[in-house]
Amino acid sequence: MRGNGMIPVGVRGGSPAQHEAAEAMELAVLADGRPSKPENRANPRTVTAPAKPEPVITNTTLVTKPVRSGQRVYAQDSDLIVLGQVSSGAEIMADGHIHVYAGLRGRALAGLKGNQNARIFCQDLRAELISVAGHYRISENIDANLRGKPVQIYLEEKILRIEPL
Amino acid sequence: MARIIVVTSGKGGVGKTTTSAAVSMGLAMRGHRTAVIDFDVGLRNLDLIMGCERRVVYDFVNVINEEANLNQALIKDKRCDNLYILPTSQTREKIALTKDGVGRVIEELSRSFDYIICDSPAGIEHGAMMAMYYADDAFIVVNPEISSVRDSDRMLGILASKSRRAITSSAPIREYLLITRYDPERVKKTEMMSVDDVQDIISIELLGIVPESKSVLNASNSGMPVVLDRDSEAGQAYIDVVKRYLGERIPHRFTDVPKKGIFGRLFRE
Amino acid sequence: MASLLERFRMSYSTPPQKGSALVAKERLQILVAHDRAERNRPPYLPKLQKDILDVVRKYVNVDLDSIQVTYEQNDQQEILELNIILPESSHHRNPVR
Repeated sequence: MRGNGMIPVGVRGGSPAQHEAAEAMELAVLADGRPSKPENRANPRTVTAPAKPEPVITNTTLVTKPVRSGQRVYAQDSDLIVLGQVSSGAEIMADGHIHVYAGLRGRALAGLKGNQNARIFCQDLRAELISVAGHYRISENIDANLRGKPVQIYLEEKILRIEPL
Repeated sequence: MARIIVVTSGKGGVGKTTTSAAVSMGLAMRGHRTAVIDFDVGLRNLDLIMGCERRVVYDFVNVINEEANLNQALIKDKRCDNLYILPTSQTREKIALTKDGVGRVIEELSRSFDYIICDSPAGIEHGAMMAMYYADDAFIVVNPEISSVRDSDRMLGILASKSRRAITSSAPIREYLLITRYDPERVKKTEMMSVDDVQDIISIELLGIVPESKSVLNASNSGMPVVLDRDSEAGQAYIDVVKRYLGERIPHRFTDVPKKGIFGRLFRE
Repeated sequence: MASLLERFRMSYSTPPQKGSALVAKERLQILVAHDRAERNRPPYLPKLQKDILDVVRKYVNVDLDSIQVTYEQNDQQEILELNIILPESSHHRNPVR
């Protein structure tokens, strides 16, 4: 998987044994789209089989609360998962990917140290600014049709792409 | 060389940002190259009032920390070519403004602008100190209300003792008074202090009286400096303010209760 | 209709009631004068007051409130006024070490 340029950052679903394996590889065990207690994770759906361990981005920072105006969250050397909304005037940053499972109204900067493979995933795009590895776009230049939509944002040939999910 | 104007008050909520936006737009519309800086680090508001919040990439603090250059951070106004906005950061603290850093930015702006408007945060703490330190002129924004007047007097004391001009014993800062949220109706009923009452206490040159007006909220709702709303009293008042600042002698307006309908006229002399 | 009556009364009733604006102005004038005086006081006054207290206490037992240091300034001169209120029976007391 990593050979194909993809970086597994965590697993969602799966059996307790698979979770153990994932944790051993320092992969995040993710909840099913919402915060839930481990024992509630019953029905396995998708199973992401982790490949060879490599010392790339192995940690995940999980933020369960809303990120308010004026707050900054930086997930150093890791991915960032935010379950609360990110208010206008807030700033979330990660050296890896960023996932936001609520309204994204603030700024989101993925691949802060220059990782061009980093992506931003969000459920409700209303961001003031989005950036991957320093390539940014401001709110004014984001296609109005994509506002409020679930999207992923990534770099392709150094051009920032926003694609509906 | 640019003229540096601080818009300050001591008290919050009196209309500093509204004034900064209106005055900077007013100066720019009269052909002066104008930059307006938001000093309220942590509570970014000027870009909202100016309607450019969706175009902010870098800010004042980035420039001070040399993370971006001035041209990257300055936002050119879409309505007026002479006007540029330097927004502030919402995610940093006031302490990010250093005296040297602010001085460097102001010096660089001075080379290409005629006027630099510094929109001060409320209070008399670090941010407000940084906003007023380099000023040549000060616009004191005051509401005809007891705590606002007292705080303004306090701020005048600070300008006279802590500004660069005071410390280097240069010519003192020129101080101008702007009375905002003025309600002639309530003044007439003696519920509100009059222009003269405020002037008796503050006693500096009066630049204008801006009446309490719905158009101010409308303007901020739509991100349009109120000075662009030429039909509104507040808009006209700010146009007068700019003219007077630039040396025109025009009589003060909006101090009297506007003419009412037939009943109002009947029962007045 | 009530407002019409009110308006009538306002326009023609003899001297209008003293509104709160006047009170505000009077309070402000006092406040601002006090603030300005405070601002112009030399910064060493509190320390001076304490030092004087220490000296006086060598001989008489007084507390901080009994010593008042006031400072006034006019065009011609600056006046530093020192006022020490001695306790009534002070001369009977033994000097404090």
